[in-house]
Amino acid sequence: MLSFWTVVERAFNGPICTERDFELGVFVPNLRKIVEKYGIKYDPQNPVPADDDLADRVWEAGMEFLVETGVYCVDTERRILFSREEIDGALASGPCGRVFGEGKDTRVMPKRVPEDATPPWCSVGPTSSPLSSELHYVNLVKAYAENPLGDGITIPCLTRVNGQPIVGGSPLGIEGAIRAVLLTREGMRRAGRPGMPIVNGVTTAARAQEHIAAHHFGIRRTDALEIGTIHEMKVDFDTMNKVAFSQAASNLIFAENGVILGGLAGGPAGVAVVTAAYNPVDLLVLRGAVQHPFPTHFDLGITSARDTIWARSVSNQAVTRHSTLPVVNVGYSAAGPMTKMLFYEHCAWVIASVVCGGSVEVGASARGTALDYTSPVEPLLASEVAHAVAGMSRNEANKIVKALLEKYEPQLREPPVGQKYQECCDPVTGQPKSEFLELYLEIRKEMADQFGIQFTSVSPYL
Amino acid sequence: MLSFDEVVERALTGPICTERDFDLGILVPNLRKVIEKYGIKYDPQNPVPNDDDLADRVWEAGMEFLVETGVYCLDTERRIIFSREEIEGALESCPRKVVFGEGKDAREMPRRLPEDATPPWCSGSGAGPVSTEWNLINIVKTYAEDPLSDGITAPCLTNLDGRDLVAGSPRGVEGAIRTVLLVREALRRAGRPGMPVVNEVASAVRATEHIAGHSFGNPDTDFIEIGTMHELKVDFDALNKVAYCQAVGNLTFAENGVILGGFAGGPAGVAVVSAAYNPVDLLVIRGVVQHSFAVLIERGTTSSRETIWARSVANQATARNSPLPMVTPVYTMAGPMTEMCYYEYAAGIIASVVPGGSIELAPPSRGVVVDHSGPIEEIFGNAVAHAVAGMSRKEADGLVLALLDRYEDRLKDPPAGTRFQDYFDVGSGTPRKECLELYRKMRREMTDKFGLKMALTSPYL
Repeated sequence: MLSFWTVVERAFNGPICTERDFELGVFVPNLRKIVEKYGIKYDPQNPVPADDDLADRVWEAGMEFLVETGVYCVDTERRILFSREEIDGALASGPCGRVFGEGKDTRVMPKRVPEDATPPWCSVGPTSSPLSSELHYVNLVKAYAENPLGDGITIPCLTRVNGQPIVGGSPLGIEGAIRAVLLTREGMRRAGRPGMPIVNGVTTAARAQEHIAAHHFGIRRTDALEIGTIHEMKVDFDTMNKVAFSQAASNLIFAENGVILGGLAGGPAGVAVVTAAYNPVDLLVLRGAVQHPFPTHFDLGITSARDTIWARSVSNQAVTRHSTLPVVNVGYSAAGPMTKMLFYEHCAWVIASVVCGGSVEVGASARGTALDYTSPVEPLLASEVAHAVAGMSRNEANKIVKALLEKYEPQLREPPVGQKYQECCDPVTGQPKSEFLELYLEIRKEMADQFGIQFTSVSPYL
Repeated sequence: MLSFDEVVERALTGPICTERDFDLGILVPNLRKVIEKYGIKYDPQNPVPNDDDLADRVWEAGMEFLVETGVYCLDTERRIIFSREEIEGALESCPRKVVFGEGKDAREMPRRLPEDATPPWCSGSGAGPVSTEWNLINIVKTYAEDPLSDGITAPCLTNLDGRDLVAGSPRGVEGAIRTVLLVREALRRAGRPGMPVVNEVASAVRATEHIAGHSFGNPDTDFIEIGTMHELKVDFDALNKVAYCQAVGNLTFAENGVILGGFAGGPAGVAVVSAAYNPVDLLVIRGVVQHSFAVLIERGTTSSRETIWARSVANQATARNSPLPMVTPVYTMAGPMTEMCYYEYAAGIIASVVPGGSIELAPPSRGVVVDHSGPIEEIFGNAVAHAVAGMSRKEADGLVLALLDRYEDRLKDPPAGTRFQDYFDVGSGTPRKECLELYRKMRREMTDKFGLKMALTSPYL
């Protein structure tokens, strides 16, 4: 595989063009051409298609698109180009069986394929959702870490330090990032899982300096820094600096690609192709141990809509049939905590992701943006569902997802707001309220009775 | 002392003004006013004045100027204002007797007064930018081998595997990390593995690079060097370095390069602004050392008559009134392997140490010419610094005047000197014969003509 420093060299010396020319003169025309050439079409009737040929065409389209387009470096205004041979070389060198965590909390990242019976990786946590107070932080993390199906933790995002709003890039960003890591480690220790890996360290950090500063306070080599591309097919030096540090510190990387449906990638077909194209980018540029994609609806800001589920299902199949880089899908749901809709949304996108070959990170509620609207209960059920559907056929998954979509799709534009963490859980004990646990058991029973999902008994709330 | 959180809060909420208004509408008029009020006048005939009253007036002027002016935050376009009581509180809370380094290489940073016999702190290495990693290791190792060297000023790599090191890019991150690892290896080879690096990390410009490099160094006893911006300004990048140092308990060299001929004006203004920076270095940069150097706008040197006067006066003002120790860097115009380089070092060192400072021996050739590194000249400088501790200001003034006579007329067109690899055997890690001959000649001259009793600790006698 090309060295990282060759990639950096290309960021300095590649073909020059303005960002606008890259987007509208290179990216969009190339993508349109490829989508048409490979006959990739969105089918809303089948959110989880069972079509290997479609998956393979999406992959080929993605690779051809990547070769012709490259990755744009915002700081140098140059394109980092890769040949097909270089892409294949990266895929052949891709990480297999990376180990995350320490001690008894050590887990191996599985490489899965569509309809694979191998249990998926489950990251649990609020997926960077914002919290108003560090008073809730430790108990929230502890509750997530107590889920035995949780392989890794995604830490919440502090919004204030000593009452002052955190400003990214300021000293408050540095302190916020450090504090978030220390609080998370304490939460995991109290849960009896001190070696559990943090897979999005550090969410309170926006800039490289904040990531690196917090690294000193508890991000271990067996944790993962989450490093993202910029929409679409772009990186900047801040991103690449995080990579350079991770390379030097031998840190694991979750390579994040939030492809926007309705943005430059267009509709579901384009999103699937671009998501596939990101896979080798995540190896070559971000040096990832995991691809961490989440096609997100431009308007709704969620991953549980029908079109985003289709794009995810197809790209997951494309990637897992051809690449060695494992996929951990992350999802954002529209409804808030302690609502039936949130359970349904989580279940729909989790089933689509797992049956199509991915692993999952569950999960953000209220689009991951509403302050304090997060809870550990829905992600627990989602992780139970993720394990239960491993080995399920795509046809069966398609039926379940369609049935779930019918339950919540009409409410996506005006979802129930639900309750804040401090309302649906006791912030002092960290325990969910009794009516919340009743709702959890009700939905769990519904999933078993209506869809035949067979749960294990690992849940701490049975 | 005000907490750092409170300083950040003021950076976010203090009085707003444009940078231009701060420079020309606040800083310059306030400075002119206090210089006139306190009657501070440059005296070229006495580059090392012997005048306690002048020193105290400079200090008072500096404090009044700081209270009226504040510190400007570039990112928020706001002024961070401090009251006189808050400044006094910071001075009373100043860290004292801080220890740097580990094991047998641990050293206490002295707080010195004018004419103090306490030996000064000496740090350096003699390297600015270097072209190869091998040069870097040899330069650091050579300076570290002198027992009078207390700390290392890390050189600056200019390329990574032949590719230009671009600040802010991934090469900046790798450059910072690599510099730290190479310096540590050089110190190990010198038998001084616990010696503190005082400008960790020289190849780093941005906070990202500093913090990344720091992870690979000696986090407890090295310094991060964090600078203000000309004049009385900071930005979030600098404050972020401070936030990180506060969190890891790291020691900070608070750097203030006051420009003579810039907003601070002439030598009188530079002395006042240098004094004003002292509490800023405590309150904003959270330094354990003030690392101030008046530098000429035109030639970028610290060894001209005006900058030496400004430094002498500011050092006296600060040493007499603040407990925050000073380590003042000395640059030269002349390149290595020239007599003028030795003279410039001697003048700058005497004018720093006798008024109450310690020294950092900065590189020859203004620290900007690749491979114009002078570790042997800096070992000479260590000995001069120790020899003049306890000297009277009057005697120091006579020595500096005599040294200025030897090089002042050549400051505009100084001898370029010789590259490190041309006077040093990089393979064996030893200076060539002609290098040692010049070094010994200059030592003799300092003893014979200036009466300095040079220490016998040098490895190259």
